[in-house]
Amino acid sequence: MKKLIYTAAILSAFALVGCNGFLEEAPKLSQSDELTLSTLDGLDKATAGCYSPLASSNWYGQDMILVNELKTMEGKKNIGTKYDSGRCKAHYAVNWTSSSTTALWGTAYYTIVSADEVIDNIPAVDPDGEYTNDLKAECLFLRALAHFDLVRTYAQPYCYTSDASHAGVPVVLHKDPSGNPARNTVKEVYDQVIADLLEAEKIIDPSYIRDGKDAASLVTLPAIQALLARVYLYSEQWQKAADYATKVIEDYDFTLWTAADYKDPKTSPFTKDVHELDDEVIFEVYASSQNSYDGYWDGLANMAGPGSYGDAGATQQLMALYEPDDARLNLFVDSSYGDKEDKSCVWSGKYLGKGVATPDVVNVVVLRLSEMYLIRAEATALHGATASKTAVEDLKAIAGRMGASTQPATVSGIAKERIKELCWEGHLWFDLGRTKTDMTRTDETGTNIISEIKWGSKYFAMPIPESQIKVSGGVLVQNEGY
Amino acid sequence: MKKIKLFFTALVVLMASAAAYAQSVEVHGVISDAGTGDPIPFAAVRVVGTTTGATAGVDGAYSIKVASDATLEFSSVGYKTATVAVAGKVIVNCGLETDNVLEDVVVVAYGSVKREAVTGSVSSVKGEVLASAPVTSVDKALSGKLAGVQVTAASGQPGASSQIRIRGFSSISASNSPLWVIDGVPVLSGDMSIMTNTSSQSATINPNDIESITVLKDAAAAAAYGSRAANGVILVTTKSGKEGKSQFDARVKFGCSWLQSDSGFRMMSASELLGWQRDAVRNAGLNPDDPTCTYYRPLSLLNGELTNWMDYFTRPGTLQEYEVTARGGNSKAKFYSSLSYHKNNGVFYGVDYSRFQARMNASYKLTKTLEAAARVNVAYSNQNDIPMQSLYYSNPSWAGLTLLPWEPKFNEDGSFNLPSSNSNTNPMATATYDDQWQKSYSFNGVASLRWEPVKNLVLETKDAAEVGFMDSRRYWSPEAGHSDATLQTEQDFYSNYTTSNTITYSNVFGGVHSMRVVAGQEASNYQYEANYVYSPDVDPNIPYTTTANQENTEADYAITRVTRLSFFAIGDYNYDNRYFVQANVREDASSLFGKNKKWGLFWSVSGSWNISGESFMENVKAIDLLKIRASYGVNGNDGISAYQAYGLYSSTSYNGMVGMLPSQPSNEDLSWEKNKTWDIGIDFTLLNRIHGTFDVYNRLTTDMLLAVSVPQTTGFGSNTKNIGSMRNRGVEFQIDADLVSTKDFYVNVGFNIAHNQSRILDLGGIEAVNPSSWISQYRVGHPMYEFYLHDYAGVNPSNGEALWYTEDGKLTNDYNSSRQVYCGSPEPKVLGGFNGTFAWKGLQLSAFFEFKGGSYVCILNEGSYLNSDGTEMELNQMASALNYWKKPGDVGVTPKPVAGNSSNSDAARSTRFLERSDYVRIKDVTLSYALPKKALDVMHLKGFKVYVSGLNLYCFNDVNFWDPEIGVTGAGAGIYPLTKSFVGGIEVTF
Repeated sequence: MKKLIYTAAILSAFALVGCNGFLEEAPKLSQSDELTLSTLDGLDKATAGCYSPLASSNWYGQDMILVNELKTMEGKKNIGTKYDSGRCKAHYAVNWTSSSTTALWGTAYYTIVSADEVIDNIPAVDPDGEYTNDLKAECLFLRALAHFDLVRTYAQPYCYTSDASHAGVPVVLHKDPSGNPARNTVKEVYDQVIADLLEAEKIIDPSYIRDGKDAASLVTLPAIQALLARVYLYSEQWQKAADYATKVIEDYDFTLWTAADYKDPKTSPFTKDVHELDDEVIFEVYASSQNSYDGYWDGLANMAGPGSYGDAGATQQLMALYEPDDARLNLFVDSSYGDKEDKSCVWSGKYLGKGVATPDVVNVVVLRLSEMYLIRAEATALHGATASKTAVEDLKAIAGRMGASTQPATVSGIAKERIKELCWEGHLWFDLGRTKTDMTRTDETGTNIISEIKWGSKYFAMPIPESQIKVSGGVLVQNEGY
Repeated sequence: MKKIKLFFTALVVLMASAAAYAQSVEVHGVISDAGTGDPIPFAAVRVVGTTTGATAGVDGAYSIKVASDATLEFSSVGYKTATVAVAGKVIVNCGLETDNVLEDVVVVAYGSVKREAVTGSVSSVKGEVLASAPVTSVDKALSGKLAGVQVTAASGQPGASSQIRIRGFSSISASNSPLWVIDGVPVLSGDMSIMTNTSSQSATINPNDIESITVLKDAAAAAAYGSRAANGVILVTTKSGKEGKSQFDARVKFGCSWLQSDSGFRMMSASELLGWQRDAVRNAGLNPDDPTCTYYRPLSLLNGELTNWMDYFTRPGTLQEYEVTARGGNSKAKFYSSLSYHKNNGVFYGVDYSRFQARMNASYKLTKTLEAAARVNVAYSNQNDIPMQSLYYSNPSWAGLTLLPWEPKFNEDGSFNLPSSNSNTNPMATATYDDQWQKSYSFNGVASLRWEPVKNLVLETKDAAEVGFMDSRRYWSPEAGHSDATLQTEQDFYSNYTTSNTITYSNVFGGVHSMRVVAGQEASNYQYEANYVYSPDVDPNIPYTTTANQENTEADYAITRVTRLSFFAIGDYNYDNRYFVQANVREDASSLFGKNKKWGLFWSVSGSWNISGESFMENVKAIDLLKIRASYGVNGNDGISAYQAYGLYSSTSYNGMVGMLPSQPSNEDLSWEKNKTWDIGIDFTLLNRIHGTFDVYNRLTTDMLLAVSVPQTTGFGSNTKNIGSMRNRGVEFQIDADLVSTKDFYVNVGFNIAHNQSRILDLGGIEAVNPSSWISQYRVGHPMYEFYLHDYAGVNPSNGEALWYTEDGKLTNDYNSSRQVYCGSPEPKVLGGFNGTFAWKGLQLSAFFEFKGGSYVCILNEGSYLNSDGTEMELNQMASALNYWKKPGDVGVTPKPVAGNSSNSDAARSTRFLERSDYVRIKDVTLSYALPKKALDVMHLKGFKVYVSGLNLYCFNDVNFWDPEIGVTGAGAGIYPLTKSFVGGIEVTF
């Protein structure tokens, strides 16, 4: 009996001692959260990873452009032509429902939570931020951009209510696997976006660029400031918008493109593989078939140009805005740039592609210098902001370089110059929203197409994906009308 | 211990004295082992016909006051009970024979018990029953033998694995397969194929090596294996040596197999197809004799060489097996060994399976109290096949149906014709020039040490290693139609180390209080590694990766590790072999789960009442055993892929940078899926020759492991959680009767039947998973599997168009506006088998039938392509399509064929291709003759038997296909059909 007790005691002792590490079997071929987020190198890689979803077709890889351009008078679906693959039907009919809406929601929150994880884990690895301030600034910028794009996609514009107290999107600042946040107000979302950008501006090394690359596809101090200028404009903080636009215009080496750059669509700056930081582009999303997120045949180069499907065309209504000598008119292309001849179609040449791969890819410009001039002009001319340059000077700088006459510094003049300069870059729809302007089409194809969208209608806020409404169990409230 | 003994002795003495009367005498003596003469400590003695009894001491000595004409019954666990009349004697010694009779003992979790002591639901089958069927692997042999055990063939290929489901389906995303335990150690099971279509791990075991198989069906029986027992446990015990002169068995087996449908299924002949196609062309308003017509189908097509492609791709399968076994031993050492070679050429060219296997089971008594044993099985198998199991162009079971009969076999230069209609592929060329094989080397060994320091106390350790190496190659040659010579190779290694340690104490007190207590610990460590190389452009003359363009060559590696740790206790108690109770507790941890919830507690309680042991039943002579049982318990399921609890980052590429992005959310609360089962059963034996069992059960799966949607604001759209529940409930009945049992004549019949119904109760708040899928949707209130198809309404008699029902019950010819309906489950409502054996002297005829009913299959893929109503003009069609609509008024026909049909009448997701898959299968008929002893003596042999068996000889069914069995989901595509076979063999014992 004693022997038995000893034996049992020894056996169980062994078993208990052995059981601690024995049951821990971590995967060897992936990296655990702990491992990734507990080292400087891991945090650096996790930061680099946060850029990746920008190129998703739910975001700048497609939806941010196509969903918004085909809602405006800048774009139309090529119906009944050789470039009618049947894609983009809902985009053009503005027939979005809660079960068919942009999937930006998931992609943007994935990016936000990925950035949150880096930001939240930095203090444990580098309490003084000595090595990680720049990483943190990148994550703050990407988180801000994601929240900003979410709120302007899924919520009515800032000016929809006088104090922006209408429903925005949930602000997610920390990973919470059991979280089920409700929608914050639009003001709260903008406040957080601005707070993130201001902190990023404060902590980033002014000369920092990831891996020392000279490329506008990476977060830099001017990219942070340029986004701030736009966010201030959207949230009607006019003086700050003008001030940040001025900073970007005056403090860096960015230069405006000229008429010569627009001479041949095939070699226009929009076909470049990389924009260095002395170019006009301040921040862009880099496209490559080697990217983990790649739209392949449904990417912008194939959807918004004549190279492949080409469903998303430009309108005569848009082209009619230009004077004949405007160099920017050169950037409209017909099917002679494509693989099928169809004279009824025309496209913006901003997505002709880099010509480097099949299917082709094209970078998407998010922020560029001319927008800064136009932001400043709008803030000074219409909303009483002050700056070193007048609105007329700014408008002239933009139009004059392209051989066009200067627009008057009025509401319609500035709106028109914005369209001419920034068309097909995903601006117009949101400009309509923030300037309380209706959308009116005169060049349209197909039947049952919406030719007018009244400002303030349900269309100015996309429906939140139904699955998310359902899974929230009533916490997330759908936009009105869906 | 002494005190307990004293207490019970006192109790017994007290009771005895109360019953005693004047003529009582005090009898004493020693109870000993009849073989060794050693006294048996604590053996029980009882006065027959009374409750009076006593327990012997450590020295086997007993004393008891009894009437001088009484009869004493002596018993002890592990010995046969003996009765001795007192007949006035004062000293009555008794020697007890060791009880080796297997029939009375059932192997259960961590031990074995007498059948009458079983409190849970178990079914067992003896080795000879398994071995008599000419099958490659043991899983196949279980089919239809045990009530509630469903064995479904997903392929008729040699060496194929089976899908085993005990009492239905319990899980959506975790495993539904039972745990296999061989000689007390949990082992790997299921499909271990790499590049071949199927490879059964159970095929490494020689069915002839098996002594018995017990299937633990309910929670109480299986709870001792709590961790992975949710889907039942299959306990396999291999043969042991026997004391006595060495005995040798030699067996040879030869067989042949062929492909045949018993439902009248066949393809059209060339002339039938041409007639059908010409009608289809005319129905399309075209002229089949017009050479410019897209569908030019002149009668002259029949003038050339015509081929029955399925005949061309198939051959008579062959089977050969050679085996030698030896067993023997003495009082100290025992051994059993076997050596076998098995070779099975499939009915399709290019498909074969061969296995070389050796086993050695040996035990040695080191001292009186210490016994060491080892059981080792080594196997090498070599399996060749070609891409089958799906609608691949190179799959002969698909191409054999589809290729046009007027397509020539060879080109003019004698090379294989690679028809463009078959994507430039010819399965015969594939079988000839391409490689697809797997060589598996497996070792499975368990070493055990059993120490019995004192009588009734056993300490046992079992340490097992299961190690395997598998080498696989797939080569696509230019000769078989591939543009580049492409090579894929993979080498996999697995190991599974298990240690299982138990302490067992069992005893009988006072002759009536039997108890057993087991305490144990178990741990296992599993690892799987795979090395894969893909070389897209090797030199066909040197088809190895060395000649590949290194830039295009891709390599990959995978590794999985799983560890498990358990502590458990089992307690049994029975009073006077009448009242039995058992309790199990098991604490299990698995590395598969989140760090907060690795441990799970599983338990069961069960009890039974042996009514036949009651004194009031003594006069009911007809009933030998009548026992009712009840049990309840909770078991676990950790059958999910590894690392799902970990939050993971994976690399992502952007802008030439490699970054890391979260790829899997962490789930620190991920834990065991649970199965809560109650079971009520009756076991009975009537007239000493009819044995029966009846069970009712309810299995409730809770905390079901399911990938559920979560708000995307968490960063992920879904996360695997313990959520949802489902239920299985059913009844089982099994009966076996020796109708005649005389010296020369023996008739035995058996029957088993089971009914099970699964139902999903909750999916964590949502209505359905994959809500629009036609077979893998899981919906609350529905069975686990249920077909969801467009509601086909037959053919419009006036114009031959296919019709469907719309949502409001009206008829439509538009498939897309038709309603979809839940229209039947592939899960059988009843399944079972029946068997009969008739023996006269040495001659024996046995037959075994298996049946399933109430289930459906959907011949969705083959059906829609091969009943295409003219959509498929480049594929042969089923002969059943000849019964098509020809003129107004035709009913009970298939739709009017129209060349280039675009009406969707052949749409696959249609009840048109749904069929009831009820069947009765003649699984096995065997005629054997064993030489009588006289003849054997002349030849100096101990036994000589010849036999011939027919396997799967006929299957009564109406399914318009090869066979009604096409996998558990009832929707397999392009599968290797079950074949028919004859096997003859000779067994010699000397």
